[in-house]
Amino acid sequence: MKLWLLVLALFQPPAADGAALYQAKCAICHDDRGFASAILGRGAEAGKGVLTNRRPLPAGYTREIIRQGKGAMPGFTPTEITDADAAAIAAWLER
Amino acid sequence: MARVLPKGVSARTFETALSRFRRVVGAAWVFSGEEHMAPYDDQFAPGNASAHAPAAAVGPASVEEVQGIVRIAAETGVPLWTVSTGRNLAYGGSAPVMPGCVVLDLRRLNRVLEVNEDLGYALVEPGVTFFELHNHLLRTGSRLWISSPAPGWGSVMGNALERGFGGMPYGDHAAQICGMEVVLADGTLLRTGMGAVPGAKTWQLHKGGFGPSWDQAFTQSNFGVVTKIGMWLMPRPQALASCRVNFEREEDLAAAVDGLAPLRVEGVVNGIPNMRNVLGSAIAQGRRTDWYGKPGPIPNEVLETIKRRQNIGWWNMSFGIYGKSDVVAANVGHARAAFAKVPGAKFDAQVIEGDALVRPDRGGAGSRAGIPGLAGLRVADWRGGKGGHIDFSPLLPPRGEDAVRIHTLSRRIIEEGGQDYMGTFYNFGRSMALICAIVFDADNAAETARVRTLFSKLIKEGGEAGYGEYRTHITYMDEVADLYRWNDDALGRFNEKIKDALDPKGILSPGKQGVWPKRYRT
Repeated sequence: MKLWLLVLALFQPPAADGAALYQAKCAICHDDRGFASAILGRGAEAGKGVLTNRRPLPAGYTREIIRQGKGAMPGFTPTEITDADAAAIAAWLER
Repeated sequence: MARVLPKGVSARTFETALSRFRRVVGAAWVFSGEEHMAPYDDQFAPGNASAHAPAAAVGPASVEEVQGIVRIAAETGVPLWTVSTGRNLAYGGSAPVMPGCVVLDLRRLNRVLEVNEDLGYALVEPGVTFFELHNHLLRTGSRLWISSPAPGWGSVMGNALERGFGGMPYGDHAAQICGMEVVLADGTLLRTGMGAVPGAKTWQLHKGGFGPSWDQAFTQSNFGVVTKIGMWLMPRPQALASCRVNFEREEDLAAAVDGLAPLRVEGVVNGIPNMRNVLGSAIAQGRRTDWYGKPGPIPNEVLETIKRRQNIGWWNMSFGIYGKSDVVAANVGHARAAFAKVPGAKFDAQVIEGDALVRPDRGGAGSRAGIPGLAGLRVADWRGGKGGHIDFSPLLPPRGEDAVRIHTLSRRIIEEGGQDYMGTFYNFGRSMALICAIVFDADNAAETARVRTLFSKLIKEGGEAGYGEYRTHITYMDEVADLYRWNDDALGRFNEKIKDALDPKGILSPGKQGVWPKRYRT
């Protein structure tokens, strides 16, 4: 049984790097200069418009927004952000 | 979202097609569940998005897989709707004209196949975005610049095929196309122009070829699926002058347009200028409620307040002048002198040279230097809520009298419909476009219905005045195509003959630009 688990683990794809994916797919709008940060920051204390400064960010909620979009943000197709990549981004934001 | 199957296709046939698609691309890349289909809908739709809801999507990763899918579609009769990355926002996104189509999503064909530094071109696949090509050029130390439209996350190829544009000298993206590879509706692979010569040396260098030229026939088209495209790229210039001219009054429009026209035709101004009205400029700085909280169009006195507080004009022109330093300096002088003749015009130019052009900042002048961005998407936040937006995009001559006529007509209809008028003119040299962004809360049914009514009125009255649109939202493709009916609809009938010959099963993007295959013509 242990050997079986070891073999399974060896053949698992490497975990996607949530931080790198966030940088590649999200930061252009959500970093401190992004227009989405300006929108999210309306009426909030300084810096709270930046997604990485917002808490709580439950992973399930982030995954839903990635697909469905929200407000001015359109959703992302599974060819643009795969389920695995969406999960990695969501987990990294929730950390 | 209510999803229907494509007209004339049974549930059993549809499932058979999906099953065969899975064998071609793998089960992981055929999508039909609601979670995965939501982003393929038109998320900023003027009305019920289910009217254009696709029933499934398929994401091939190679030309061979595209050919396989197209052949299955032809055999089963399941219609496809091709998108490169599906970011045709304000014009329908990824959504098809006809509900039930399967989105043929080419995002995974995302290789930059070649960049030629000396001769200035790139050969790319459909899924390559402006960001990706820009980053590729940065990584490789290229001296070439891309031209990007306002939102840079779209496809280089898709935008060129839709005749999108940017503000740089190579900003007419369709005009930079040189050579394509196309999958036809029977699965045949075609190379256009010089690419038809085996071992061609000039596929991305010479636009003609021998015999009829077909590249432009695949723009805004449903005659084939383009899988490779050659795009000419601009060498980084020695200098760039980022110029602004503000005009104080709405009545200055004709003088502004007439002042610019000769500078464009003579090549003094070689970037594509834009000229925004007050709200077209203000929209990048905040939300409507920052200025006005009542329903109905923002009144003139509030527009004057916005002008004053933002230190802008009623019309705000912006353009780049590119080239060798001495030529740029001289041409800035010519432009300054031309606008000095327009009463109330305020001209300002900032010249950038040398290292500052190698890695310009992403904001400000960066957008004039091939740096893609996404700030243009802020338009969707103007009214808050779900940021519905569509663009009315008529073409006109670069003459003051025409600009005044289409501006007056558009402002009247949009404001009578209760919406804010945000007009931006773009000068392409021998023609101009007026892009009116109509922003609405897509969750507000009454407001959305008003927008639909006023948009049809814009198309109709604009057409009666002689101004046809260059591009439109999927909901209005038939209405706009109806404007192009000279000589008993000779062009429409010509398009249908070609469509029926190339795509007899009617499986490629039915209804795109109002061109329907025989099986779906009423």
